[in-house]
Amino acid sequence: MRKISSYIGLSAMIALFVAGIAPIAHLIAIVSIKGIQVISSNFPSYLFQERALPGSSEVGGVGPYILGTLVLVAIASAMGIPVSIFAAIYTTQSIRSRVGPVTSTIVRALIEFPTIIVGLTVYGMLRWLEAVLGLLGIQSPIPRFSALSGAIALAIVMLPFIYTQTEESLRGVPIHLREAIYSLGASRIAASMILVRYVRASILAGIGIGVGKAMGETAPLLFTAFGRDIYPESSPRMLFEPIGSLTLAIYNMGLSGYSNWVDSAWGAAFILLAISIGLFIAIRILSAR
Amino acid sequence: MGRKMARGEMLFRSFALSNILIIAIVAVMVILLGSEGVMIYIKEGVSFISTSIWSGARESYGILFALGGSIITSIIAIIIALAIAIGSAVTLSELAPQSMRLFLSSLTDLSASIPTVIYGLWGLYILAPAVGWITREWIPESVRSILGTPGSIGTSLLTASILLSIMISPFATAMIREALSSVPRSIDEALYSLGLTRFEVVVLKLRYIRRAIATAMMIAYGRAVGETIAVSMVVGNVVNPEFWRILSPGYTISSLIADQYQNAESYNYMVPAIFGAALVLFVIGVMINIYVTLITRGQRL
Repeated sequence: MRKISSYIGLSAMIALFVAGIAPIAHLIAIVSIKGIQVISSNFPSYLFQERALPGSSEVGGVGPYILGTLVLVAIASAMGIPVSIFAAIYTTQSIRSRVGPVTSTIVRALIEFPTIIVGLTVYGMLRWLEAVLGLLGIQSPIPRFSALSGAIALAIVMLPFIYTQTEESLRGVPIHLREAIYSLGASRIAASMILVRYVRASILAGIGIGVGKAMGETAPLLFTAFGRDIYPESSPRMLFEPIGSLTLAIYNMGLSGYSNWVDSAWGAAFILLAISIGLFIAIRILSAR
Repeated sequence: MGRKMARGEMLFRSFALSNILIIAIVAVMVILLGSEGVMIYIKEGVSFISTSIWSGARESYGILFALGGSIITSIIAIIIALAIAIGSAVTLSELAPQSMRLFLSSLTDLSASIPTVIYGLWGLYILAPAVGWITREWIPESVRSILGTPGSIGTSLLTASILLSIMISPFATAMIREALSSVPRSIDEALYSLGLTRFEVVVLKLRYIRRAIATAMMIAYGRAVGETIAVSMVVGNVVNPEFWRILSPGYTISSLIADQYQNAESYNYMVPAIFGAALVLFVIGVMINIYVTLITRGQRL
């Protein structure tokens, strides 16, 4: 009797597991099938063209959104990666400083911030900046709806992931190794560089996680990058103008109800999914080292 | 040599600027949220969180409908996610054959790194129609008169809850697995030596880590409340003052903010109202964090 109830109980556990994993498997399968269909029947124009007219029989393309995602993630990485790594090095290598523990606590709170709030507060900060500079008759260098603004929001999103991973991997360095480095008379900067090189695979994994998160985010871009469906006219100016992204495109075209735009959204979703899975595997290989 | 060392030390100390920048940004974020968010309470008073109205044309805002939507969708989501996460954690840590564990747990982990907007798209075109169909075919009219009816494509508060549960359960699974693996082997062996069945051992181990499970659920709740894009795509985005009618479309706070971004600046008070809503979201998150910190303080599990 107890054996039977044990089997029933364990079967229920497995059934719950299947109920949780089945939607994920279905999602990956359906996005791949629909996405590959859309992209292959419009290849390669899908990767370069702008979107088609709503309701037309053409699918058009997602070129401006791919460009937007690349620009946003590149600028966000240029800001977010060095700041997170430098901060994590300082926190772990300066034992007596008060700044380190405060940073650790604050970053661990930041990781739980809803990303919509990150975007909204960047928007609010840039509005303040515009107002203050406006009083002086100066135009703000960072308009609130612009590629730069979106990149700042994404940099804040990726920061805690890279910071915590770097901090934890530096703390994980065996104490005898750390002592050996300092006993050779290395300065703090030299010792830090040696330690960073020692844990570089783990830091790279952290960068992968952070950049992947930033690339997949939509909410922080609503009030910042704002979205745009056409190519910018010139490259330097596009930093100061609203810009689109793959995620914003999936959101807007997915909700639009026009069947050709919805098809296009599935294609964009597949591109993002493929990159996410690629990054996930790369991170797994890096952290296994 | 002396000068070189001094320069290196200065370079090292300049790293602290990154720490200060991070602290300053977060401080400004919180200050800004507080000061911008408070404005709408000066205009609307308590009615901002006690009434259900969102009208740019009348410049009148009350977010009770979205607050209720957020709380109810997140509660339903963590109840479903709790069941899935316990089942998954037990399956992955105790039951699955060793050879399949790595693959299955990788799939669970992978699902945490899929962009949320993709869950939204899947939710809108796969999950929502299924929920709509089940509601129409299986749920009797008498129940629907109490719980409401989904929108034409199946969007509803319940659809959002189910999608949220799928999205947060991998995270909850990971936390419960970690707790399960921290149960000392000696306890395992002692339980089996009492002649208990495998399932009875599992149940006792789950009871042993119940605090860890509770903590995981609280953190998962915080994530569910803050999730924006996926929810915004399946919740229906309708002002629904009767937010307890979970089969009807509605709003959550975060989906309200996301849905209004394009026209917010066209009205005088909509931007302050959005900041006010975000402040409520932030306060919920802070309360959960404080609660989690308090219950985990000084505990082994």
